[in-house]
Amino acid sequence: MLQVENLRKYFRDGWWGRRLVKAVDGVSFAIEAGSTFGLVGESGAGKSTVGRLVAGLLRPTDGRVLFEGRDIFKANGREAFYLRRKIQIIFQNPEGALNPRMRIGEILAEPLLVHRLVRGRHVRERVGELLAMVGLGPEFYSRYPWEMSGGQNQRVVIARALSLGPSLLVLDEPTSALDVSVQAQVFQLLKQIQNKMRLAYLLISHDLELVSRVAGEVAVLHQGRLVEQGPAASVFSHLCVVYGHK
Amino acid sequence: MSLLVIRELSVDFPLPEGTVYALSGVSLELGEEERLALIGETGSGKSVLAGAILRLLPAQARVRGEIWYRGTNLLALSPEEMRRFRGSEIALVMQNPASALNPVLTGGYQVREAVLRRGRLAKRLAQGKVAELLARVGLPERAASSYPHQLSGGMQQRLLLSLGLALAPRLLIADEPTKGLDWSLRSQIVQLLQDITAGQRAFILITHDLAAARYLAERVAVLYAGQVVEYGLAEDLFSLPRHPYTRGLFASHPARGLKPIPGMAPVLTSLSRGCRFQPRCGQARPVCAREDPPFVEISEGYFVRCHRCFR
Amino acid sequence: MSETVITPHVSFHRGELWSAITRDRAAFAGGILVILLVFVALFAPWLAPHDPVRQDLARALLPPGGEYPLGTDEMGRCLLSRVLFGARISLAVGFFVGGLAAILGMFIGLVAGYYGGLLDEVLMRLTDIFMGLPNIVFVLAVVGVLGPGLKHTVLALVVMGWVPFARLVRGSVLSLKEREFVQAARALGFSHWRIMVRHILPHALGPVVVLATLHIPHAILAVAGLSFLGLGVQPPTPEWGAMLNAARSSMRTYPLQMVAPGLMVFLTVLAFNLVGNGLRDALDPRRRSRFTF
Repeated sequence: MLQVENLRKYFRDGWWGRRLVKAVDGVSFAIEAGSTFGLVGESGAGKSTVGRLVAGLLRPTDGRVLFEGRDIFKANGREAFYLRRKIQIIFQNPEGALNPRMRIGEILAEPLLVHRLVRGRHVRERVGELLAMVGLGPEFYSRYPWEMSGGQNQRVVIARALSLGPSLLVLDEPTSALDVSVQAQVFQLLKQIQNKMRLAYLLISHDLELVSRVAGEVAVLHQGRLVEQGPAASVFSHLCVVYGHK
Repeated sequence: MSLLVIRELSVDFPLPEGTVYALSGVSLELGEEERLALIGETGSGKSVLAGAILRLLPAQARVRGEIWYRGTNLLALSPEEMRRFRGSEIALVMQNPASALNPVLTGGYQVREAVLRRGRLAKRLAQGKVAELLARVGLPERAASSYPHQLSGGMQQRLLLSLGLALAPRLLIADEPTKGLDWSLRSQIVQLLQDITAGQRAFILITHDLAAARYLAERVAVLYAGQVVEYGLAEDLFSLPRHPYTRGLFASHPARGLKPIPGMAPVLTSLSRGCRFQPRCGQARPVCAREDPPFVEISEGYFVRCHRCFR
Repeated sequence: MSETVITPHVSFHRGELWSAITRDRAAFAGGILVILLVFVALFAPWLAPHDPVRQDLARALLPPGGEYPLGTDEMGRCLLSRVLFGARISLAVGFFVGGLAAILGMFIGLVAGYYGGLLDEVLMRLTDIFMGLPNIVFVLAVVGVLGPGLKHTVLALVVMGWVPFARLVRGSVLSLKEREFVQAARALGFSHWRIMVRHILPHALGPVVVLATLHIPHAILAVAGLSFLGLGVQPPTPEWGAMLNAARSSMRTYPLQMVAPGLMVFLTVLAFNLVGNGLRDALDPRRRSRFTF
């Protein structure tokens, strides 16, 4: 469903941009519909850059990202608008990802209205459904993000992403700002949603235990390049040798 | 003999929105050179406990109970007397090195400042002491002349630890020292903590990193909603946790199943009677909602706050 | 853990701002003064005992008392009425210039900060050029070319006035656009315009309001100064600066004619400055740090 081909992203850094930083340097992988693909690496390995490229928030220096065979960086007009909906991203810090001046109801209604998915009085109904889908009651409709816990905010972020009917969610360290027990709740929810809607996940994390538990296929990023790729079980047995960990 | 004895410590914060009961009736003991891990999640009160020991809580905090440190009740000391204890007897390594270090001073300056406090040391000797401390935490010499932003996250954490060690405290408290670090850095910092504490000083590790707690601590206390719910030797507690919350917490860890505990921790402004974990507990009985569970010693040195374990 | 949390971009919850302002007595007094002045300006026709422009040379330079509470000027016009009506022009100019400069500057800053690149570069060099021009010289030049009068003065003040607003807003936008909720809005496919207006601008608004409040007295002073020089408001329109100018000839014999409009200018500027400073302090995140656990 998603194919990443030879993706590169270079940044200029230092005085007058004289230093070239190869944040992502020729990365290729593919994600099947309804599956979870784990991308692991140390901080600074370029994981988040890959996530942002796939979500279309950054333009690559070179390479392609194909969604259902269509290059997301070559699409125009209606097609671009459609692809935008189909790939959504969820960030690490849920409270930061929500506009603190908007109520939860407004936050969830906004994408529906912008993409003209629902109209008029059906909006409120749909927002209620979305809240229910992530296990929040209708009383959250009029709350502000800062009145809620981190776990609840992350549920709202997930609901907002789901409102557009995506096929792929990029999860960029979705729970590293949350407590362990809340992390488990969020992943339980993500699993349920995946089963129900055949969503694919690109899970970006530095937590090997988490990725090995959740992902089917895993790739290891090191200094912008993939150094290892395959089914979770075999990659992690290898990693222990490479990093001498545990 | 015990280095630190905490008896029935309660801390609450009267706020306009209502009183926050951050800690309720916490009793713990720490022997000389013993290492204790405080495990708990957001809002469990584990950081408030560290603040109470060092008397670094905001002014509006109401603190009750006793904290005995080598025969002195810290809560009865004058502010000036308390100040003398900080750093030299009990040192705190703060959470989040990026903001706990002063960005406009070099690493070496900050360490020297800590070493020279109250002029214990001739300035001439201070230089050697700074180099020694930096080497102790595995920092290269150039760190002395670097500003915090020029150091990586792991190096900042090391620098912060060297500040804690500056006056060779008898008790070191570290607040979430492995938070936000990726796996290789995390194991380096855990190893460093082992090197600077094992057999040398008492240590309180505040963390939710179970692997680190298991590796570094002889004793573990699990906090939930401002109470210690389980307290005992690390071996026992990790091999057979008794309290349903501890079990749930362990099971929600990715390495142990990623199975969530249903529900949410209670709001600390409105606490009802009975066990604070009872609304989320799968094994709750009618008594759990009626009566506060006692903190009972079920075997020598092993305490649990649960009706189920009480017979 | 007693970590002090400082919110870099203040979002205000109703009541908090209000209580911060009422606690600041100087700002509160300034606010009352501003409300009074606005009241005077709005109801000048009812409050003034006489027509402010009707001349009656037979009653020129009367002392205060009786029918004329503050006396009359050299044309026999009621001084009190002229001072009251003068509030209309000064406040109108202040609000108009402050508001228009703020809106103009805000949008230039928003666009420059959001899009960045060449557009930003061009707009910011433009602000550099304007900042390099001495204010008064520019205004004099505009009035010199277009001729004296209130319209031209106001135009010149707006053209000069947007610059600090653009700088201020651009700075906030640069940091706001990196925030996650803005990134999230981009990922959701929202339009640039929506992101700018709905998600970025409201967070940059606080300091703009402060700057605008402090910009109002600046504009009032500038217009009064230019009118005093005979370049702004033209006679017989009642305006404090122009009144000061007219009063020069009889300054020694009849000082009240100068004191009355002078005091009004002083009070107006003071009132707005007090409110502006109060707002700035109330919105300052450093004064709102709080403890969290």
